[in-house]
Amino acid sequence: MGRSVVFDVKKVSKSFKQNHVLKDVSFAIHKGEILGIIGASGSGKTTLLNLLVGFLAPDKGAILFTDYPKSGKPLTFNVLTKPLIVNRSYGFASQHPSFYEKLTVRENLEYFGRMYNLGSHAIRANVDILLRLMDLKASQHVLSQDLSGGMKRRLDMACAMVHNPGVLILDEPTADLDPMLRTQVWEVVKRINTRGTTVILSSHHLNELDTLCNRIAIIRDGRIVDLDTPDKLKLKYTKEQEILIESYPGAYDKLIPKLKGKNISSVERQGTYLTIRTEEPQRTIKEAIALLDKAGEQLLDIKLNKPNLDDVFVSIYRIETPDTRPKATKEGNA
Amino acid sequence: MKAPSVIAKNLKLLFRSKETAFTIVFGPLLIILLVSAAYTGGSGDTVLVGTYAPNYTGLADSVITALKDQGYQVNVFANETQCVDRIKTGQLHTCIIFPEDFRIKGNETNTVTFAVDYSRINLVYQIIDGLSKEFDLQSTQISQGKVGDVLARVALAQTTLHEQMAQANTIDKDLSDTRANLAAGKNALGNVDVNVSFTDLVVIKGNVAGLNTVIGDMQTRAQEGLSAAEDLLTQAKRDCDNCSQDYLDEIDASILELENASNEIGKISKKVPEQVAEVNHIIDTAAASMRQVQDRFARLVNASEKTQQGLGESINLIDDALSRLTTLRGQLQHIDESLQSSIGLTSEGVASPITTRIEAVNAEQNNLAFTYPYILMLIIMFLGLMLSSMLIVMDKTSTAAFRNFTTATRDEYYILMSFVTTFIILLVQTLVILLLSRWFLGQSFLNNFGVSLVIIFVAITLFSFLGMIIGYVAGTAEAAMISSLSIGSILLFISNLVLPLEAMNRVVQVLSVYNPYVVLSELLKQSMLFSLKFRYVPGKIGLLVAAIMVLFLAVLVVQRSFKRRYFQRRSKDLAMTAFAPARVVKPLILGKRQVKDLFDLLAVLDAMTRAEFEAVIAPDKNPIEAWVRNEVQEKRLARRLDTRSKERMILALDTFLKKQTKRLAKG
Repeated sequence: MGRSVVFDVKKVSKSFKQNHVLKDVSFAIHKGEILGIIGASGSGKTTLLNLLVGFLAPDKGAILFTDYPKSGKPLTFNVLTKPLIVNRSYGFASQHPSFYEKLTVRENLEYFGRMYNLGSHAIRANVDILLRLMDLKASQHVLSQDLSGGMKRRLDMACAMVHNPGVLILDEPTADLDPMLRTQVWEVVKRINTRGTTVILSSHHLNELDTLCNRIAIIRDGRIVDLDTPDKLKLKYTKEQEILIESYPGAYDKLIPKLKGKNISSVERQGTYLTIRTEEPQRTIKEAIALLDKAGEQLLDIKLNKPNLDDVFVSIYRIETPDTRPKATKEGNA
Repeated sequence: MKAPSVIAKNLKLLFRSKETAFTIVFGPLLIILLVSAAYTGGSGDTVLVGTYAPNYTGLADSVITALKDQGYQVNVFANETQCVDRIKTGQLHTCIIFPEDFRIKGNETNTVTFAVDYSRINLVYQIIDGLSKEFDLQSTQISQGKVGDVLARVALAQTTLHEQMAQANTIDKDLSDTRANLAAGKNALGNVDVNVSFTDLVVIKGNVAGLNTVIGDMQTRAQEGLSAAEDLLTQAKRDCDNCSQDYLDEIDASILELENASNEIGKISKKVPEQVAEVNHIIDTAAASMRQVQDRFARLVNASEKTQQGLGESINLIDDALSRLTTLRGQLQHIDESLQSSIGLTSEGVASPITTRIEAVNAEQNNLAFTYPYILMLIIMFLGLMLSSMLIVMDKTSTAAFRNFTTATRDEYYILMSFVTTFIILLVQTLVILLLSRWFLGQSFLNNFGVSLVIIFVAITLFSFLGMIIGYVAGTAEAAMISSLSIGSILLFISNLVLPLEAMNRVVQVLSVYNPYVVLSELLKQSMLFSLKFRYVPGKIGLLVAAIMVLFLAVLVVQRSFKRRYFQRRSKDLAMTAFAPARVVKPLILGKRQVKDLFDLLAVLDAMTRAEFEAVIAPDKNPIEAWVRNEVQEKRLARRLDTRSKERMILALDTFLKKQTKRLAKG
């Protein structure tokens, strides 16, 4: 991944009436990366994405966009000054698919291709590629309203990609999708990224972003509290691991008091499992097995859950005040 | 080429949506066909009319016949109550109750009663309209008879008058002649001098007496002269010794003659007194006669004066008579002139002095021709408003709206393409309607096609832009449709098509001047029916084009406004912060998580495992419901959160937040 910057967000603030949605946000998005933006509902993710492409104008600060033409020098400018060039440079797909339900798959792609000023030949070529890429070839003459949820989402992404943009922005593209469809969408995103397209996406499904994104920005209360690779974020915010033990007859009530206080932050019964959170999983497992033997419990199952982005997210959102927050990395701002 | 793609897309969307395809594309064709059918036909054979009369006169029968002739189904009833009851049961539309002895007579008025269900009052007016013709016919026939009689009498009077006027003229002439004669007589009498003077006779008498003396003197002087002459002659004779005898004889002869003359004078002188006495006697006799004449003349003068006075009075009387005669003749002349105006009058003309005739200025055979431009413009107006507003609403409420906004195409382009799509559809429909009119109505409205087409272009453009504004302002297709219909109805109401403008309030009349529907339909009518020349069009068209430009700018403004609000609405964050409570809310602790607001709550609920959720929510405790009720103070939401289902809670919260988001984004 190169370090060429596509979007350079500089001290951007945005308010709606008296309410500050984004506060002094600064960060950069690199060419060719997949950047995930996570945050609670209403934390400012969509506003940030809308600002990136000039749908909204920031109250303060500026967002610079660098256009990398196929020939010639890159051109950097404020996204608000040249909206048509910016529009031509990105594709945007949100959680609500955006295409005409009464047009067929191919008609939609051809129509939006025209709207991006593509010639007939380019449209035909791009549409054929996208139909294959999105696995929609067989449904190209089907009315969009008759597509399944996953196909609609793929068509939406195809519409966003029909003009072959350098940047693809996905605002919660897997919201309301079942796991199977979510997997399909992420597969497509990966394929698109391998073609060199920069992908910026927001999602609630943090664990899926874990394996997808090169970097993740965490946004809370209008600020990017951290921006780093998933591994670094997990390392930074979650040291505890979760041990799940299932035994027979499962008289965990006697075991829980004995486990407490041994570098274990919490232990509780969850259904047929005993859940233990600790920063020293190896030692805790040994101790727990010993205690089970002693109590005459027959071990049925034992699992070790390593921390994931969910944990990072929860960890960040547990922090009540700015004073107790961990320090942001150099690219995020506190 | 983007334009064909956008237009093709718009057409596909319109035609693939059953609702718009039917109501907008085919609806107008149905409307024009229905309107044509309504105007070209129509009969009363479905109108049920009952009649009742105490006694059926000829007039009542003729009315019933007239009703039947007009296609009404007429039932005659022998009972008024029965007839009226049939209306109540819906078996009749109206019942006509004739008065007793229903006929047109002298000064009497006949009252025909219509019993009617008030909802069918228009039907009554229709029937009355038909019956009025019958009643009018009857009245006219009677009036014509009476007027004919009067006119005959007038003609007779006129003839008599003419005779009297001729006699008056004769009398006038006679009187004038008489007056002239009298005046001449009077003058003649006035000129007669009957004064007799006796002075002359006395003078004559005196002169006669004097004459006696004079004659005596003259005799004396003559005697003396003669004597002197004789003496002279005698002397001469004696003195004349040498005188010839002849001379002397001559002298002697002269002396003799002188002696004779003296003798004669002596004789005459002796007779003079006698003669004078005789003359005096004659004079006395004449004087006596003259006195008698004088007396007679005196009496004559007296009589003459009396005669003259009488003549004067007669002349005055004649003058008076002539004056009155002149007045009489003037009056007779006036009467004659008055009667003269009745010459050529007919009883029909007097009984029905005014008859109306409707003469079409074009060759149409039905009144659709007159209303056709209004109806065509009506269709263009409603279709323009609805089609363009629907196109805009379809686009802006479509899921594709977002993508359209994010493409590399200017906003103005979409506006123009929506307009072009509307324009094409409307133009095609208008042309189809015109061709259908030619086909079905057998009459071409394509006269003066160039000017008509310009007017239609302007109308389509104006109403399309107006519809686009409606489309951007309205939130839903239903709202756009209702708004389009409402605005169209208002424009329609303030026009001549529903009610005559002249009968409306002054304010409405003034407003109608600015009503584009009125202006355009009037122009179209003038063009289609009266072949309006293009040189009369530019003024009004110029104003309408100015209005179109204003409307286009307005479309741009509302589109920009909509786009701005659209992206704000997409920013859910807006809602989260916008309706966050103004006061500080005590956080809700759920397990190890802290909830500060409803968005936090949604996120936390979403992230909670079932075990965690069940640990928090128990049958006897629901801290979430209590927190929303007491801290957030959203009681309705709290009621919905009073559940033990995590999914229901998430659904209730999500729905609530989405509603709030929409509300705030709009406001």
